[in-house]
Amino acid sequence: MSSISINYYSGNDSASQTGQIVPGEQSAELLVSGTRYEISYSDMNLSRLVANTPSFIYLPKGACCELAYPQAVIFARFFASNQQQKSSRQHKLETRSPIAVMSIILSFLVLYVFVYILSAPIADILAKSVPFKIKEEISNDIVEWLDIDYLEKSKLKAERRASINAIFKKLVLASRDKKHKYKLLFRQGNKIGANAFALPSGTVVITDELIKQVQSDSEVAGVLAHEIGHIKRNHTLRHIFRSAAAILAMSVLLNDASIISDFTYSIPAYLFTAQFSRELEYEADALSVPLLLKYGYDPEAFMRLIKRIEKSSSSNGSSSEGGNEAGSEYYSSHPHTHNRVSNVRKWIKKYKRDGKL
Amino acid sequence: MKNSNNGFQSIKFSASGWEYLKLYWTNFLPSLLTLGVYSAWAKVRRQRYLLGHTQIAGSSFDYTAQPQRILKGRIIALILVTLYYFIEYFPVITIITALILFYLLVPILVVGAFRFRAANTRWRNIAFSFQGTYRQAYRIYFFYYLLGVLSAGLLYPYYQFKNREFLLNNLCYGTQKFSFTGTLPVFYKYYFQAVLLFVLALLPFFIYTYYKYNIGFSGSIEYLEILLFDFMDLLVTILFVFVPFLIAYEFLRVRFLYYTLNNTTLGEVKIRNDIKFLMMLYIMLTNVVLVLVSFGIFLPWARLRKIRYIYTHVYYEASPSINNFYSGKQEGVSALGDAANDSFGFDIGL
Repeated sequence: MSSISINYYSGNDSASQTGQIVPGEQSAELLVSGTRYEISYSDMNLSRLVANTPSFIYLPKGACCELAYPQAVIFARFFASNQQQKSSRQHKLETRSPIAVMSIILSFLVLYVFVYILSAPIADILAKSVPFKIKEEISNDIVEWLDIDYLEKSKLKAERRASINAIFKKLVLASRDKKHKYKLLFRQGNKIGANAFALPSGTVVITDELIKQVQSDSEVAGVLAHEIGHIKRNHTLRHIFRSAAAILAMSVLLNDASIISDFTYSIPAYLFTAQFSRELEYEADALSVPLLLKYGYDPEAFMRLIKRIEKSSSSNGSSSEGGNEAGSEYYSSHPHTHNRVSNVRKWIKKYKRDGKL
Repeated sequence: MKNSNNGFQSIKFSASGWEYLKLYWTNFLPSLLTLGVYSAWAKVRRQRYLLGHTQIAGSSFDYTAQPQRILKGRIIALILVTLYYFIEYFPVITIITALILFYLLVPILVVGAFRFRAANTRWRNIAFSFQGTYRQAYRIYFFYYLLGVLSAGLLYPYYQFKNREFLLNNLCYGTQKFSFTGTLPVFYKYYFQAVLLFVLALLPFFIYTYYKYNIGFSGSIEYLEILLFDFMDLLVTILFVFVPFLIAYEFLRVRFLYYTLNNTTLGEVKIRNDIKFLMMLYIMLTNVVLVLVSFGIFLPWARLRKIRYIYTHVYYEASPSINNFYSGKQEGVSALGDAANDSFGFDIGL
């Protein structure tokens, strides 16, 4: 038998003694400072092999030996126990580069499937299970926060508001959605400008700036039908849950990143959430088609309105990230307008052909 | 400081970035597939790798934590975090009570984590131990920490100083306590240097005045984005505010670490270091780029690089007294490391 060099530690003090261990069939022979000990394998314990690190043999009476890396593997072969065999399997896997590469690929694949495929149905189920009361609370909080930080009372004439409200009521009726309490709020947008929001409980906020840009009833109906689509399909909550899935995946990936993590994940997580958001925009556009056609409104009018607003905001010198035609769509929460137009046209055709979506 | 210079020797660290990267990812996949259960085992293997490659006077460190215990700690942490996120949906009184309870838990968790970590780290068959009490921990993480917050950061260095005193003076190797002999004014000196650095680094942000917050039209659930900032806003915030903050914070951390290590002894064994702020900053910034560009694949490599720099720039006095620490077993003082057996494996990175 070949002997293996070791460091011997008594467990009483921090002195290190050199020695030798000779592994046999049932027991090992330990030689330390001229003394020979015969120790049965059942009386000792071996630390698990990890890559090319030293191993420790825990001996009776609290003593311990340290073995350098390659010798540790040789000793482990003699030291037969089930646990040890399992551990050496993991040890073999860890030291092989192709296995590591496979693990990386598979890990990313699993995360990808989770974020892009599994998260959608999970978010839908979760969004559906949120009670209306909570949706209402969230909506009230958001309105309150918007009112404090951004919005002001609408300066629109009462008749104008009443006529828009009438269109809104018609569209809500057509949506046949009984799960939400639909309500239209008029506000002056200030910094937010021409805009409209759909809140989870059924509240729609529309700004004066937006209404001033409107040139026909079809256009304003387009905006409202789009927002009703967001509400009917729980888009806010679905978006929140899907984003949470993306953030969860990022935090799993970078679990130990500590200080780096906080701002390393905000960028990729933003890109994920922007993509979900674009998907939801397409869905809301599609949902608006039957509502609008029912009352003879032009479903494409909304797109014309968006284009007009984009033009006016870019001529103001400030760039809008909304449906901006220039630049990449990837970091935007909204699809390019020309993509939305073709999406809407597709749904109009389908609706006219099949009579349903 | 060079190796073996005036009796000081550097810690030997032989871990390799590639090896660690392989180890990390082969253990990551099973963690993912078992929904995190295996992560406790992965953690032990990573820790064994890092400590096994750390050598002082020819002997490596041993890590003896039981993965089952770490798993238990992680489950408790997960429950606490989940509760924390969902708490805002409960009535205000419940929230306040729960928050107070959470903060009451923090000192207990910190002490538990340090006990666990110390008791499971061994060198030459003698365990470390952490003997800080809950009472002391409450004083640090409740009282001094709160003072730091309430004084708008003015007493933050005081808290940091007290914290280091608490952590180091209660850390033992066998029967020998570590001792921290640093003084408070030095902490304040580094703190004001860091504040100055932050203000100087913020200058580009003040100059950047033409930036106007403007949200475009899109007709949607966009208020979510106003909450999350839009992309440009995020970029500007990161570049002009967060990066200076990160630099100043790193400066403070490195300086505190440098000073703390240089003023800590274990019995007769003195500890020295020559960790440089600029080098640490360079490593940190290049690590961020590396991690981003590699989609996180090089995260373990980046971490190891940082650890290697720190470990190889710490020196210990190579005197015979390094062989003369005692476990206390013979004198029957053995209770030292045993306290850890009651605590769960809640691990906090510090």
